[in-house]
Amino acid sequence: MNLQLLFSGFSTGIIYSLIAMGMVLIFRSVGIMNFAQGEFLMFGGYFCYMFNRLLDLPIGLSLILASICMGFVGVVFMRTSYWPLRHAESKAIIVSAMGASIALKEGARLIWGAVPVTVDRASEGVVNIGTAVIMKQNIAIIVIAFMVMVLIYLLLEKTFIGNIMQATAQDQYMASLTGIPVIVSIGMTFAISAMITGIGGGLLAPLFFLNNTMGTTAGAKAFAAIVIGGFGSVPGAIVGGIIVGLVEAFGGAYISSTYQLVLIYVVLFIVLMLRPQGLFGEKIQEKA
Amino acid sequence: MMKGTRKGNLITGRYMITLTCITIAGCFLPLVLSSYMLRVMNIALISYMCVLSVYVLLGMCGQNSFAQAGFWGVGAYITANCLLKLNLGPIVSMIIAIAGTALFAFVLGFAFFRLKQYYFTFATIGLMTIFNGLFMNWKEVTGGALGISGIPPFAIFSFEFSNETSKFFLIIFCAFVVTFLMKILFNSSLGRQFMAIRDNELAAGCMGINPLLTKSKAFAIGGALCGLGGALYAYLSGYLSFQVFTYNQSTMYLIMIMLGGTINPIGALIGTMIISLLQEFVRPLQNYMQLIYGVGIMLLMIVQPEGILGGIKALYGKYNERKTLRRSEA
Amino acid sequence: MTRKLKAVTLLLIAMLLAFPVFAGGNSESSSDGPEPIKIGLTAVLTGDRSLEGQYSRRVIEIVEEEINGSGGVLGRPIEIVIEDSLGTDIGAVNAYRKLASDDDIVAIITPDSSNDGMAQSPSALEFRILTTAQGSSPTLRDMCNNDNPYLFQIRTCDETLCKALIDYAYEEFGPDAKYAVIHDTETSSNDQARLFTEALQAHGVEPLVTVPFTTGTKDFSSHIAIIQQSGADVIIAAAFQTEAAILIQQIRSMGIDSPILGSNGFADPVTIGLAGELCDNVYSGVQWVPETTNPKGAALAAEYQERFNEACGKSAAQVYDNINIICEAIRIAGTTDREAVRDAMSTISDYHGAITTYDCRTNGGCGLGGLLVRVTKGQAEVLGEIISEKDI
Repeated sequence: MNLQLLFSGFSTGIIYSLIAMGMVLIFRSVGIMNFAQGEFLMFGGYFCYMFNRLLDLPIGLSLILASICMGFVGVVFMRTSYWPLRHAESKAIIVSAMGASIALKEGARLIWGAVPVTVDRASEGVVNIGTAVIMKQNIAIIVIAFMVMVLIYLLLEKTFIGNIMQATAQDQYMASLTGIPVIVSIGMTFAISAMITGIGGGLLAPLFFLNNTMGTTAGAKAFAAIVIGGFGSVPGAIVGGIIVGLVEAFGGAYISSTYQLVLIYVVLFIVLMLRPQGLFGEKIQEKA
Repeated sequence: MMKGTRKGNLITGRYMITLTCITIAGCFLPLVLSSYMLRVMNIALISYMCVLSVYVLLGMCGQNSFAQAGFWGVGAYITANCLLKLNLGPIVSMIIAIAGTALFAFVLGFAFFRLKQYYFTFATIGLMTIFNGLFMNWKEVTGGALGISGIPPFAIFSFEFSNETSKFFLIIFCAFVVTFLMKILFNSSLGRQFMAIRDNELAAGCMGINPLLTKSKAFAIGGALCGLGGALYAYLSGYLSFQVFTYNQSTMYLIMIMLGGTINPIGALIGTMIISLLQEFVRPLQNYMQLIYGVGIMLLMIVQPEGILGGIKALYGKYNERKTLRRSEA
Repeated sequence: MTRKLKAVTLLLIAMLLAFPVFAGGNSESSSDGPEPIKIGLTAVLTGDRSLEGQYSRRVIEIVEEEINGSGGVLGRPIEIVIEDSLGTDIGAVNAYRKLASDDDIVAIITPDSSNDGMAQSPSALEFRILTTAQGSSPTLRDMCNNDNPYLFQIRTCDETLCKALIDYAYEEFGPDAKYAVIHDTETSSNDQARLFTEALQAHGVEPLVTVPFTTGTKDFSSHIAIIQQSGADVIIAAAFQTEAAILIQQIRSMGIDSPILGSNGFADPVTIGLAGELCDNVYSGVQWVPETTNPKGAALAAEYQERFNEACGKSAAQVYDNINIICEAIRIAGTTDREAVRDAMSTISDYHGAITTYDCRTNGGCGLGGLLVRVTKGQAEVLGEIISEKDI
């Protein structure tokens, strides 16, 4: 039983990591939490459904096409709900993202209907490891998520575009003085963030099914992952996601299945009480 | 020193006149409104009290909390339990709800305000989730998912506030009192401590303010406001269930105060009214209603990032500037 | 921002503030011929539970056409006015009061949730208007029977269905079968799990474990592990469609083939559409499946399928029956007076609807039965009709 819990906790956790990573990228770039990230997950899933089920394309191609579409969604989202408010308080941006979140949820319902749908799996069947049974789709998720994480790392650390994005994240004003087009750089960040979360949505769809509110709970758990991992830290987001997945699996089995979600937050409080900046976060400096 | 105090009184005087005018105008609403719109107004005024709690926390003290709907629920459930299980009178129940919620928030504040900035905000999201989980599953106290029904209306001695209009007068009276108290708080030393912390926590600490204690006090005042709102909601609806006290409701409060403006309670009132009415206003769109509502929130925020009151203030400032310019030209 | 945009926004706000004064005014009556009879429907059109609203909105089209095509009621056409209840108590009550404030509305139908029905109950008493509740909870039934003469539960109470399913299972799997219960903690599933357990206890069987989970849970590995450890060979489950489909999928992928006794959501067309053949060996006591043996129901399901190219859901059938039974009450009353219609409602004792037969002589649990269903090869198969007696 423990082995089973370990595997399923880990594979669900990886998905939270993927969403959390998308949020952290945006947070590092513009310093705000994106309250509509869960809706990116849902939209990615629905795009995948559209290509896979409505246009009958194979699942691999659908995932790629869906993530490209998500790139555009990310840019449009940035241009409409972040860019006009870039000089305003962060609270104003949060509120506009909340409005956008409502609009995205309802938009998805109007486009694709209220009946929950599903997409094909990347691979069918199950694998037996010892006493544990794991769906091949879960393994596919772990592999693809790992690939995405490596790609993001390479993009940010090893390429020119990555340097531009990092420079903008560190100091927008300085970046603009050195001739970096800030809007392009931020747009890229939003696009990449939406793309990785969108892929997560497509991969999740056959396991958790798609409806227009699927992003809400997943988004809440990704928040917890970020806080546990420490704001602004990409490795923190990944580790935090896995911790959340494991707490969910083991806590549900051994402590209380009713209060599974509550348990995650209890762990969050314990981590924060012991380490107020999260596991990987830098200590918050108080400005004098 | 003398001059400062007099100016303070003057502002309070003008504020009182505005407040009284709004309240008196509000008292005529039952004459023109249908019973349906009156209920919408009642709910809006109750939300207004919760939004005021966000005003105290965010507008005065600079702390963003997403747990206010949870405290609202705590107040409502305390009221229902006092009335139905302990058989206390309506007034006593209401006072226990206010005091109980405030005390509860005060104690929680000590734990939560050890966290700073984003970490605090996200811890309150967690708190909200825990609240909702308890409301849904704690059968002995909250009636579980089915909730508590059959809560009697508010009564003073033998007079029952049973119909919509009398409930409206009760709620608008409470709203009036609370708004007045807000102004007193704003001018008190506690209020100034809050604002010192909002503007610069480190500097406030250097001046001898204990940030943890002061922020917990703000949390407690917020809790008391939500407790009052919760008690009034219990009397108004007669039925409580977990469906109402959700994270979504908490985000609604933030949206309301941000749209209205965080500078004073009138902003909170404007924001609450606009969001509450917007929700009813878009009803004829039926299927598209929430879409338009979401887009509406976005648009309002983009056009008025400082809230509507902030926008009006800026306009007023510009007008004054021009006047002085013209005068100096002449 | 440009000044124009600002002006537009200010105008919008001004309109908003002026709105409450004009709201609630009656719609313009420009139709020729007799005035339509208006019936209100509150349903979740937007938000988390909007699937229900989609069914309701679509079935209205069919009902209106059907009734108005055959001459209407009392020689007048009917018109269903639908308001969004948003899936919360406040939304449900606001929608209700908006409808009730319109004097032409004769009766109102609550959303498909016991919570919403209970939230609207005080308003029903205040406005003294016939209200038919779609919730199926026994608590709502008791409220209808004891507290509120205007509230009728036009639905089979969960107690009847849960008991029928457990009785069947006890026969089928023998007295030695070991049971485990897994359920959502949301209102109706919570109730159903309790009723399943009580029905089992009546046979002297105690479930080995009861595993509750919170709505929105997606990963059931820990819950299934607990059930596996307990050694149960029949799983009793209560949840809504999406959770039900995820649960079935995960139970089956763990290699557990034991029969599942499910609540309404487990034999629903949506669930079967999502989980496909994995749903085999699922038994359920349901209000409604599109494969129903009821002739009226089968006609409705066929019509719905043809028109919208989508299986007819439970909410659609429920709304269909609710509207028809209200029309029947109006016919008996011979007038659209609210009080008279309410009184007429409590004389209906044997109305055959699309789902089941209704007896409204007492307010609670008017629906008398449902269907016993087993899923084989991704198809719901009706094993028999459930019908109960009502003791007056």
